Amino acid sequence: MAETKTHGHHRFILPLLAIVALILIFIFKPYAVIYGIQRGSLYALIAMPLALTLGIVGILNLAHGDFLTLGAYIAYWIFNSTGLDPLLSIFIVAPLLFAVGAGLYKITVSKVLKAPLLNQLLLTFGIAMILEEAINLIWTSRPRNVYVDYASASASIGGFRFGTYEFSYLLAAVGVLVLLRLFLKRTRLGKAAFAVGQNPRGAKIVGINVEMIYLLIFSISVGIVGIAAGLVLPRMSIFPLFGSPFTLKSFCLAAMAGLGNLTGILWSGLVLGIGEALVQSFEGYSGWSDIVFFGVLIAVITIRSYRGSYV
Amino acid sequence: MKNETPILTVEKLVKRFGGLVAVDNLSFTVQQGEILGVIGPNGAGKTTLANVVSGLYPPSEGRIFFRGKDVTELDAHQRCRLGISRTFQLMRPIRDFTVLENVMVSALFGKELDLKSAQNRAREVCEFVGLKRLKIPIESATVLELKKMEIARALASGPQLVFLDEVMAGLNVDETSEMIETVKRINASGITVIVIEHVMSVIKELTHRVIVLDRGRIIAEGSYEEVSRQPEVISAYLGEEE
Amino acid sequence: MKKLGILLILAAVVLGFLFPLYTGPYPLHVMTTVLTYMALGLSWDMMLRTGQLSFGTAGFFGLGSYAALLTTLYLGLNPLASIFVGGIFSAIVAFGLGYAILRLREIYFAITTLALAGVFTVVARNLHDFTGGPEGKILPSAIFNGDPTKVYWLTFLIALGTILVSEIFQRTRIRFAITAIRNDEITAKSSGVDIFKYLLFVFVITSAIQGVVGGAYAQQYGFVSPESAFSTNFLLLPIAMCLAGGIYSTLGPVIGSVILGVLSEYLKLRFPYGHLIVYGVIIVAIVLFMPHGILGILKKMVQKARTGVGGNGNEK
Repeated sequence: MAETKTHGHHRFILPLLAIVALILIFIFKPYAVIYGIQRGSLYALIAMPLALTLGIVGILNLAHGDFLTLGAYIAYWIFNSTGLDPLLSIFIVAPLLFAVGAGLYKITVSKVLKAPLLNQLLLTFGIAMILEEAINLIWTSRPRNVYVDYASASASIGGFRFGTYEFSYLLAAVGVLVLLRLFLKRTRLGKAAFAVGQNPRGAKIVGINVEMIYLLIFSISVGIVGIAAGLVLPRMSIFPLFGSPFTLKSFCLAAMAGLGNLTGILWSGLVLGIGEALVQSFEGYSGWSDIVFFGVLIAVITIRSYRGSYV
Repeated sequence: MKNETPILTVEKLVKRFGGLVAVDNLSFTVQQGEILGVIGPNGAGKTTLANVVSGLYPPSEGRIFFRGKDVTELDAHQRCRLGISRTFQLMRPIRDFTVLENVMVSALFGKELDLKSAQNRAREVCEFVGLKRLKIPIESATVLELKKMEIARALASGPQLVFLDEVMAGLNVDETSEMIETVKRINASGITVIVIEHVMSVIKELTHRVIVLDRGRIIAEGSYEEVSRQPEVISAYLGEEE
Repeated sequence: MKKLGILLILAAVVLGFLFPLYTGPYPLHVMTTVLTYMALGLSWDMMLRTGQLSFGTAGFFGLGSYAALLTTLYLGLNPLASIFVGGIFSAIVAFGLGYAILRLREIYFAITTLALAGVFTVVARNLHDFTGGPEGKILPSAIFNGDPTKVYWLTFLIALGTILVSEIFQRTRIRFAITAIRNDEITAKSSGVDIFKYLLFVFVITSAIQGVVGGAYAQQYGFVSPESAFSTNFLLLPIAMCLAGGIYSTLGPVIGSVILGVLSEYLKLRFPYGHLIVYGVIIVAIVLFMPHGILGILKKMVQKARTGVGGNGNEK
């Protein structure tokens, strides 16, 4: 399962190059770096739970991004009905999504774990479609917004201003990363989950309740997406399809970093976030930024196929 | 019917999986027409050797020559077409096909025949190995039938060299005798056979020559009588007596 | 028994061909749409038979749409010829893409094809001068001047051609290669099957079909835009139809597209909003409860009737 590649004696060259590149980019396109880091950490935040599910439960959840949409709309609805601040509503949305994930797992996902990959992909694909259409039905495709003061907080360094609220993504991403790593390495439950990801049959033999682990991890994964949902609501216009691209981007990060390499996802997220922001910063080319991830995905796949898998 | 050039030459073959060295600097040749036995304790690298020579894994180091030609860079399907075949110890039949159709795949793509000829050839090969029920789905086949089908599949592509990977495993006395006869007939038809086995009586009866593997290396080579007496072989097998 | 089958098929073809002569424009339009989705569904199923799940139907469909419309617009190409161009263009893109991504399989392939429509949409939206950007491009006139009968016949022929290709895949050595690859790649390649070659071949052919269907669709409406050409409908519906009818066959997608196509028209009338949810539900329900679709259920019933015991032997 885990396919991390260490860089060996290139250990220091790569980070050094990265820092130099970063400084260069910052000099020419400071906003690209700032927004890139913010956006990138959001991607990483959403990608980590996908990698968790993919690595431990072994299923690619094509509806992953649509849970972000779901969470955001729920938070939006809560805000409109009760005026509860989106960030505070995370305490409702995340557990709620956890429950939704658990329910969905029990009713549908658990049934296809032993079925061919095709069935799994089609199932989550169908769920994604249902979520998108249901949300479209209830709230229409008109973009929705929530306005809170702190979302427009900004700071300035040496003359140029930038939004600071979105650094909360970075905080959340790092926080989730740290918590997940602690969970997987230090807690009994987490170690069991890690074992299941490495070798489900072996884990079962030593008495680990694999089914329960699958349920737990899947639900945690959706719950974390709920956290991200509450975070983005103050800043993003939400519409039924806004979460869907995150599925692909999350998978791209997971593929780049290698399954099981959560820290790698954070770095990859930052790199791709900056890359995307960089493309966006050039006049007339901003529309192409969506393809950055796709291009990277193809590159990663092509490189992998010629290096690794001998098929 | 011995040719000058060995049908198979393995030169300094190394296969690593991460930190594990499964095959460690292996060199040997196989003469055309002989039955070579490959024995060794579990984990010695026998199946890995078959996997590398048949093309499923690329070697980490070393070269493989088949009938004088360097095939190291070739894919598994290309080697199959050239004439290297193998059976799988853990059988993986094509479940959506009948027994006959399973064998036809090799005839179609290994021997590159057209549909009609492939079907005929598949029938012949199945008869050769003693398969009677050809039109049944895989679920209905017995273990013995599956084993025979596996051999038939390997033969249908018209190989000159066949790896038989533990085909005797799990067979009773009668079935084992039948299988031994089948292997002899395969060899008699001109095919060089490499037999990977745990069952020593089979090795003793079938093979002209034996190489003994342990931890990826050849520790002995010769006839069965010769190698079975060598102390390295005995100690390698300690606790593994059949 | 076989003769009866051939007779039935001929009857269906003749009836299908004569369809416009005894129905009005509305059923004609519905059937045209059904046939469009039938061809798309069949092409998706053909790729599925290799064991690779592609989510790219909408992508290659849209590519064909754009290629067909733009060559007519800029080069004055005959509309019928432009439809072929649509197919060829999609095939070329599929070839290049397949070379990169077909070496890694399963989820990598699936998710990359899923991204295709989105990527093509971005490209179409950004090449303003060439593709008309977000607004798209319009043709001065639709093919056959919009004559519904001729449009129907065109779509009918395309669907028929697709059925033919699907049957060729089912009856020649291609079936052996594809089924072997789908079941067990290691066995397949150890038996001499050039896996990559066959996967690429099927990928290119099915994408070409999708391009042709897209080209015909664009010519039919005389209009392309990023949202309409690469719409998820062209991905979601064909998949649902194949699942409903029964995958890994020609008959399954045909049945599924007729049933679901007609059903969807009814649903559109009844629930103008949200009928798309039904497709998602259908996909989920079928995957959970009857993964082999209607054909699978029929096969089981036949098996039960034959053996008297619980039948087995469904295709995986």
